[in-house]
Amino acid sequence: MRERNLAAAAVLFALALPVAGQDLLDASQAFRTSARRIGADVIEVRYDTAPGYYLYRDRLEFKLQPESARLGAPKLPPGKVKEDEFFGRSVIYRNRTIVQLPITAMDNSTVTLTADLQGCADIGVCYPPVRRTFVLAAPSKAR
Amino acid sequence: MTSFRTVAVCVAVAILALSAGYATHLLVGESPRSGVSHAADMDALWKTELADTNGQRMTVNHWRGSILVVNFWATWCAPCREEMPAFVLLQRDLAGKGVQFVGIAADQGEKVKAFATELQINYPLLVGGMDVIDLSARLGNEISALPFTIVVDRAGRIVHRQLGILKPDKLRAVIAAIS
Repeated sequence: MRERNLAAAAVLFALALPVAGQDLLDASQAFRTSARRIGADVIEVRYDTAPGYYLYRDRLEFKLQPESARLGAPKLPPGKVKEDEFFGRSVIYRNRTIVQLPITAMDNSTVTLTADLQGCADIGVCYPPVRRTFVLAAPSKAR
Repeated sequence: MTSFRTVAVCVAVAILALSAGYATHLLVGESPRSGVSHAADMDALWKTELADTNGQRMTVNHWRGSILVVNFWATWCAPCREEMPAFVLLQRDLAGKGVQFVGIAADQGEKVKAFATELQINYPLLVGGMDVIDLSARLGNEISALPFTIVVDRAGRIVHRQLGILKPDKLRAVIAAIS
């Protein structure tokens, strides 16, 4: 039985290294990002972070155009605390993370969202800050 | 039963060994067999002119002819910060052998200067914007991540590329092979 446990533990260990067994992803694949308007006054930004990668909460930034459209405080999930001897304490996101952005679009028009992010791979590399841009039409009104 | 036990142990050991190999694969880096890099890439490196932490403009070509360790990094990159204390020690130990470290940061000057003071960095740090990442890509950093380090021999050829932390023992071995 001990041998079976050892073999099972080895398999689990191998599966726990999702990044290590493959080439590193580029940032667009590691941190897939999408955005949509889920109402006239809310944008939902979704980050699908690949296994073995993570995003820094403090490096998520958002801007909205045009000037007449206003962006409220992002509703960020709590995330997990990561302690790093050389980097200090950070809050990070893994897997799927959804951020809601309250907006006020004065004339309910199309808005352009820029979403900045920065993250790393557990294997020990970090990606430069990346900017994603989304043009989001106003949701059609129910009649 | 004995045969099952033997097979189970062998499978476990093999998987652990392979996993450990995978885990270190990307951190081991790559030493080009030919030792020759694309001339255009090296031209871009030699011509790179950036401000150091004192605001003085420096060209990488200034250090041509040394055994050059060029480390691309940033203060926002935790593994970059992790490996740099070892570089300070190696620069001190290997300066007499003609080894010169140069850090090239994709960052802001004030942040780099503060970090350099904190760690008492004893080699030049040049500071650029995101174009620094593009330069590293032209030197072989295919996914434009950091840290990324190249070792250049006295003839100006890249003899080692490293994405991720470059361990001191590995770097010593690479340098010893071209000294």
